[in-house]
Amino acid sequence: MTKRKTVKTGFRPHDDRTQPRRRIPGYPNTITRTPAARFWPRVLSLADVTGPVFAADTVLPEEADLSRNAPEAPRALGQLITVSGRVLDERGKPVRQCLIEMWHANASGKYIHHNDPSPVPVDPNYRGRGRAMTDDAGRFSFRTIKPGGYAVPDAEAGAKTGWWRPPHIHFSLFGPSFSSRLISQWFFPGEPLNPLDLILNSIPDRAARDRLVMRFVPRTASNSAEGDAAIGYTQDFILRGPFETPFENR
Amino acid sequence: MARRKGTRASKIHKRALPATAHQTTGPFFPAQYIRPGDTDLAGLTRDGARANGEPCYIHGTIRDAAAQPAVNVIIEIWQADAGGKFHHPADRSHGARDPNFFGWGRTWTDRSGFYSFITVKPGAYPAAPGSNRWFAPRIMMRLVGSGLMRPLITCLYFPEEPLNREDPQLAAVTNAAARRRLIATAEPHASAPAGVTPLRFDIDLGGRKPSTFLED
Repeated sequence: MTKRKTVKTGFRPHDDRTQPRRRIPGYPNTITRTPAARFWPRVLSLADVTGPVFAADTVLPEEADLSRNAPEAPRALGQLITVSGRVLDERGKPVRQCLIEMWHANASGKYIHHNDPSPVPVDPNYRGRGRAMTDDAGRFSFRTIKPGGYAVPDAEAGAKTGWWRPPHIHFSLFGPSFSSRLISQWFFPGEPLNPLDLILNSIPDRAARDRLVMRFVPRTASNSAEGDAAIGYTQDFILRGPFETPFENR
Repeated sequence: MARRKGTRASKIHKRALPATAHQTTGPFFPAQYIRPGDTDLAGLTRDGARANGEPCYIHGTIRDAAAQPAVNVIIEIWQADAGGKFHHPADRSHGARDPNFFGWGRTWTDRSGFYSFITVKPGAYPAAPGSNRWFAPRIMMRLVGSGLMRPLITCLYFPEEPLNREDPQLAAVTNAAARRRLIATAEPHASAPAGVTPLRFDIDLGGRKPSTFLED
């Protein structure tokens, strides 16, 4: 009788120091929504190394411009910026055809969302959300306006323990598999609220926090050629993987 | 063979770049990203061809540690088609996949913590190419939302499914009560379309009897 054993390759458990703590005092939902019980080992299978791969034409080019509602429409208020970068896997290889969803507050710090109770103004010219697909080098680029910071809504923070969120951009990346999926946030360099943010600072490892803070893109002739000269910010995403198909050791 | 693979895996480990940190979606995930068709993987409620297989209506309530409804939790599911094939190039198994089944869905919980999907019961699939060990029909689930700093991963199994007994993931959950939390129960629901198998799968994020979650 042949002895069989399922062997898993390419799966690295997260280093917890590089990931946020699950419970954050002052953010009640992190307490009430975090299981107290242990997490069970996940047995890798095809379900983990596969995932939804969206067609390249899922996204229209204009969806990468959040600064207006249509290509010729008036711009939203605020500092015009570009947010660009690369999506790589853990070996540094580009992740192509990766669907990226992003969203952030307007220049006043208000989201286009029925759950946002903030009294600051909405901006009818601001799109509020954007999508893009990475190219063959894993690159993507959004054009948008710099979001404002805001007071965390009472319902999120608990009325007496509120804090301010620094300007930040939410991202959702699919990558090539169920296991490579990432929801994260990027922050702006040098923001005085960054050191006070409970969410960014829930990551124990400083280098891991710094990887969520964008850098300025050096100004060159090519990125200043456009009349609207947006300020450029950049960073890279590292998705988990590659996850090799489990195989059987005979 | 195994030794060589092992060596390569450890090289990957040493040379690897650190994966970007997860962060919460917060409460403002754009409503427009959840499209009406995203809760119907079987194609039952839209024009066009339906997926093959037994249609199912998955329904449940997500509750927090205080047993209150967990509102605005985003649930994503991923599964094989009725023949056990994943719509993905990494699935190199024999047989044609169902062209009318993509296998991914997304929804969010309403004010009462309720969510639902229409899908088809996935087929079993081998633990590895050529293996005689099988993963039972299962639906992967990922929960994100406000307060979830990292995603929560769980998995739905089907009740009275003989293959559950040998499923490698269920076997790895060595506590019987924790294993039971991964298995849906047959239970009708008023919103279930006619002729569709209704299955209830509640998720408790905390409390005295939490659901079973897998390492992320």
